[in-house]
Amino acid sequence: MKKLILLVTSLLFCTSALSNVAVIVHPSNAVAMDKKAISKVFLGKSKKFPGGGTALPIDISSGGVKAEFTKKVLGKSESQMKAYWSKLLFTGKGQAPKAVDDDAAVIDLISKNPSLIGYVSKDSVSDSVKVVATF
Amino acid sequence: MKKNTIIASLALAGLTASAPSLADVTFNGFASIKAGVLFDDVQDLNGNGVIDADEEILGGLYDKDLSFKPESVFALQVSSDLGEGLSVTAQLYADGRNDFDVEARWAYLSYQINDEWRVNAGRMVLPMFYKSESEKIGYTVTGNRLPRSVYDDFNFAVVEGIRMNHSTELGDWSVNSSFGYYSWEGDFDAFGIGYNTKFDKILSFSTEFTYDWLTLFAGAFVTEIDFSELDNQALFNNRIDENGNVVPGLNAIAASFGVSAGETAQLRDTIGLSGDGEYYYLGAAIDYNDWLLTAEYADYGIKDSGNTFSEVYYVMAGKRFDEYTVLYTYEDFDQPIDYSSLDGFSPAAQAIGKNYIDVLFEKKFKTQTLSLRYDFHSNAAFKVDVFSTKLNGLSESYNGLSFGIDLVY
Repeated sequence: MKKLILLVTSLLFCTSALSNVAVIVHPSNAVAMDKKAISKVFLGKSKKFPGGGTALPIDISSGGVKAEFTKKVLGKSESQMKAYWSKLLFTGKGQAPKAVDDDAAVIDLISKNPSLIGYVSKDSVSDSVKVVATF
Repeated sequence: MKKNTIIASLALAGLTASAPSLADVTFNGFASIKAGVLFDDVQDLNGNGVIDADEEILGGLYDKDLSFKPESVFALQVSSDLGEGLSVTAQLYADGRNDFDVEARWAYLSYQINDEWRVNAGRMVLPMFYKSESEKIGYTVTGNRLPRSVYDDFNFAVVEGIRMNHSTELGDWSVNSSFGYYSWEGDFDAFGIGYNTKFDKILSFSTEFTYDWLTLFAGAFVTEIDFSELDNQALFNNRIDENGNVVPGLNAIAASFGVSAGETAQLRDTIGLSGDGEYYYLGAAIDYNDWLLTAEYADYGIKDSGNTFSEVYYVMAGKRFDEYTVLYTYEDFDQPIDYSSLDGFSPAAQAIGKNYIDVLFEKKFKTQTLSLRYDFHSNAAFKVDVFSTKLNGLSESYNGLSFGIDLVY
């Protein structure tokens, strides 16, 4: 019983830890973005921030936060995204955003470049980046 | 010593300078391993001893023996980003239909001019219909294959030329278009022989408007088609068939019916396949709350030739259930016979002309397919489908099954 409680608690903890995706930009970037605008950048349909200025998305290779971002913000499964980018990649029309290994790498890159936009688990956010939206 | 240090530093500097370009070479690929079988024997309906194109099922892919070959595909794409918007890409492709002979299906230089315009130059797949460019990438297709009524494995699919890709936003819509100028030269198979054929001055346009869950698409291309080798050797002059018999050509037949030389020349112009090719498509696709619907209609043919226009379409409807997708496809291929080009000819010339048009171009079929896709891995999907085809004028159906795995890497 104790084990069960522990399991349930840890599952709940996992869920709450994963349930907050923070979309982040450089602290100097004053942009305001909704889900639609973020989605357009990450699907390669828009290459600019809403106010102008180049927007370069940074993805994460794999993991819970990627699955959650893909589902909640892009409204697709990872398989659908794979098919979406494969179609563009193999027909010379575009390629998936560059992907890095983890939250720390996303934060590090974005803290150094105002053109970048990425997403991390809300718990990973530091002062070196700015949160534009959470999901 | 100092000299050595300088040389070493220079070598290191050289290495460092070349390292980014090496690091920017990327390899990607896709593959399909598929098998299929027909439950029914293909029939020689006109009794001429061979299975003609209009008697084939699924373009002749499968028969009653289970085969893993025709729809298995391997492709490797190598791309190098040269910086400042310039890149070079080659896609090596091999499929079972062509004995896995490796060909460069794509080989092009690409330059991103600005956020909206990109120019590609080299070898590319012609955007003949909506999904022609991605037709062979099985993973991007829900079922095992795109509907054969539209995606008929045209041998002029890979062309050389230049293409401008344009992408922009109009309010909530994203608009992607391409404008291309290409040519194609290759062998066109007829009666078991490949005849040198040219598609010159291919002018192509395609566009898609996407609003979240809705995509509207359309496209067209026009081209000057030179079928003179096939026209002369297979249609106009006598030819030797598969059994070694002499098949009289249009010239000999017209002479035997007393058609004048002048009228025979006119008949050659009318029946011959060379002429202006025109290809059009349009349709819509919906992907809403995991419900899927796609419909595409295409109309194409060669003007002022014996090739009557084909009218083809399909409707696909499906639903995603997490990693499973169920899809139903109804497709229709129709190449209606049109004798109007023979108006004004003498009765004998008309009879000869009608005979040619009938033999060459009467093709009709309807196919229904039920597909199940299972995304069992982040890079791979298993698919199985059952299909049923009805040929022109036949009440019974030909049924079959295919299954396989599509992957991207």
